[in-house]
Amino acid sequence: MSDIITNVKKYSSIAIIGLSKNAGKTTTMNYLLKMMNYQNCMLTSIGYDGEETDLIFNSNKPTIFIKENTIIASAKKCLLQSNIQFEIMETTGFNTPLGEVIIARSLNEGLIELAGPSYNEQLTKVIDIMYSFNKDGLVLVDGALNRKMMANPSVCDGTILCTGMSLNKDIDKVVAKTIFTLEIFKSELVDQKIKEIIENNISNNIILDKDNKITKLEVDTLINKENEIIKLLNKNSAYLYIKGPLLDKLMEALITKRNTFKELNIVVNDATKIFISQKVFELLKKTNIKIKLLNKIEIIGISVNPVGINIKVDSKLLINEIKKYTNIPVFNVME
Amino acid sequence: MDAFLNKKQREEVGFTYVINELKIKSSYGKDYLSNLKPFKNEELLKEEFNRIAEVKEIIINYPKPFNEIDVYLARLKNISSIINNLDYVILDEIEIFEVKKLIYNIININHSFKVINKIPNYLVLADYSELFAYLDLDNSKQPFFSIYNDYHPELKTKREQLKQLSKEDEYYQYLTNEIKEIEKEVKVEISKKIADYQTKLLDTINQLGYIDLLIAKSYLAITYQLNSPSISNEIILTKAYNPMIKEIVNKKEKNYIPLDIVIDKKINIITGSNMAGKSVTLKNIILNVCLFQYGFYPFVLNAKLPILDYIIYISDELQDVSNSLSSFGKEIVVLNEALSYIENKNGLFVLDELARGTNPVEAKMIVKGVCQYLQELNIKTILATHLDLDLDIDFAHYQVVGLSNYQESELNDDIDKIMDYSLIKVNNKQKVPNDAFKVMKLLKMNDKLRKIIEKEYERR
Repeated sequence: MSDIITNVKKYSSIAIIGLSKNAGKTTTMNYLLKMMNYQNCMLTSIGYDGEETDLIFNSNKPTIFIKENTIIASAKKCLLQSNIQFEIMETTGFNTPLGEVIIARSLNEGLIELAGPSYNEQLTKVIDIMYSFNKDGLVLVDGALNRKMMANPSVCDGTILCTGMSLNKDIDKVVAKTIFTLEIFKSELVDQKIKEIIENNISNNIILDKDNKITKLEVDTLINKENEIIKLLNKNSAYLYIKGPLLDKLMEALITKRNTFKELNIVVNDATKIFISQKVFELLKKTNIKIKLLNKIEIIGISVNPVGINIKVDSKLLINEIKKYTNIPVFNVME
Repeated sequence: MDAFLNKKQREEVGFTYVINELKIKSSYGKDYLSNLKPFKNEELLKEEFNRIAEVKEIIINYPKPFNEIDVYLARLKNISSIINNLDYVILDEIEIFEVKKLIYNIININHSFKVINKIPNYLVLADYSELFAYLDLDNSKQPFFSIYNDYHPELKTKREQLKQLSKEDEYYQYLTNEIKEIEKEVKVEISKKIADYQTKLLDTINQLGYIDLLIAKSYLAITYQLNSPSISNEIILTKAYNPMIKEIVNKKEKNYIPLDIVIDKKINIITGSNMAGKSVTLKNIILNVCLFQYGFYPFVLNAKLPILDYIIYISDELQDVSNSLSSFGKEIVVLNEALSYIENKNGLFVLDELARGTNPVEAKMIVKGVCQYLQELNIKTILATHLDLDLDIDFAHYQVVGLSNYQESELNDDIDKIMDYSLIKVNNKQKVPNDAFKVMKLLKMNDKLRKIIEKEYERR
């Protein structure tokens, strides 16, 4: 367990993401803060998903306990409603449904809700501003694995994945889903040159052929547009960049028509955009279709929660089952 | 009707291009620019041109403070809405922070300017050290803000008491509420204090916008090596150019020829063959006259220009009226609208190929009539045409040189290379050059057709 703390200190920003609601994101974050003696930690989140937790689990909103002298970036409403006395350090001009994202330092301890920026550029900027106030700090980002979120953990240099029995009552399924997620996150990065071309056209879905000729797809969403996309593919097509979520339906359509092209790389921004099933993922391995990423998310630890709705398993069992398949540190913060 | 061109016309003549070249740093500067009004007063305009000269000089002599000020200006967040509402709103911590940060930046800007010897007073911002000290009770000298203990005699004790209590303590919530109440009182007090500065703050943010624009105008004058114009009743431009068109021409690796023109008559006719650049000439004049009205240095070596009430520009491509009308119909509607607008005002009327859509015989009569009508008014008219007008009134006649220096046998080169775009003043009876045939040859018109047309020319 202390390994993970030593490990964490090597990074300057860490995202904490959960495979499902109640996978233990907030607990993990609170734990990391405590283990670091609340020293030099700075906090923010990607967007805000507190309300959903409320409705589904009827549990408390995810609040984080912070000590005096902690720098946070959160929405104006969260700051004003908190009992903590804050010193306002900077305003960002980035708006959320709960008001502008504000950077502030706590002057006493207490509980705070985090609602940070929703876009990558904003998150990067917020992290930069926080750094300008404490160059030795570690920024912890309450992340999201949510297809609605535009921002993603690739902005941070390390990510902790939270998983556990809230995913499924069957421990084997929890382990399988976790390992499958790790495999998706290990997808290859696209070549630097191709990355640059795509990033110059990042607001469009595009097809790149062997000679890097760009075809823009004149649709905003690709959902239910599978046939239109396939019509635009040919023997020269090399890359298909999908800016939104990658779903089974498109992949199944591409697999059926895989003779249309020679070798096709499906490029997504990062692994959090991949929402395909394990069945389709396995099938892809046998075809001329590959999934590639623009940005890598490095998983540096796996935090498990052995408690789910009406279920509790042996923590050691869950940890050991996952460890069979990966070298990444696996731990339970409640022990 | 817009006094100085509509949005589309400003784009066409390159005014928008020049505005986009300005490096405005703050949103106050952007606000100031979007509300910019043309100068009506000679003294104020002279003063503005002098200020540009002065700031140009200071920037060259003291580059460092200007680099700092650029950063401060860029950091300014537009909080006009907070300042506008100061008299009836209680500010929250974050709004108080915004005000404190604004005056923090104001103090920094003043500080950066301090190194300048004999700083002109329009660059000096008001002093806010007293208000800053009040908002900086912990004496951090930072823009940060919190409701510090010293704002209220009981805050410190109560906050410390709360620290000692556990959340479960029954007194905890009571004390928390009490502290919140005190903090609210403090916010009311701070808001009142800031509200006393409302007028001063509004003046300062307006001045910040002005300074930002003035610095941007001065940088523009440095970059393009522009000189201060003088105010006169005539339009005299020496080596005037249009940076937007110059950029396009230079991109094609071609030479851009600047314009020399003296407009001292009421009616001024520019003639020239097709493709000789009559429209480009008009856009050059309009752009530079327009920039002058808004207190910018024009793109010229030298300029003497009048303060005008309006510029009316009527050209085929620019009209934005009902689509049901023909191009001639549109011209008439716009002309009519313009005529009702210009009476008793001092302006510039620019007409590019008026009545080009109608037959030459009638067009000639219409244009002549318009010239006679406009001559009666107190305005300057520049009219570009390829018609021979035979005017009986007093007017000045300019001709684009075009291809007149070339014999037909010499016409083997690229048209842009040999076309002479310069303007010369000619005799009022000088005929419009018949260069259309030469242009046809240069543009490699089908041989058979050209020979047929050539016969028609010979028959005449």
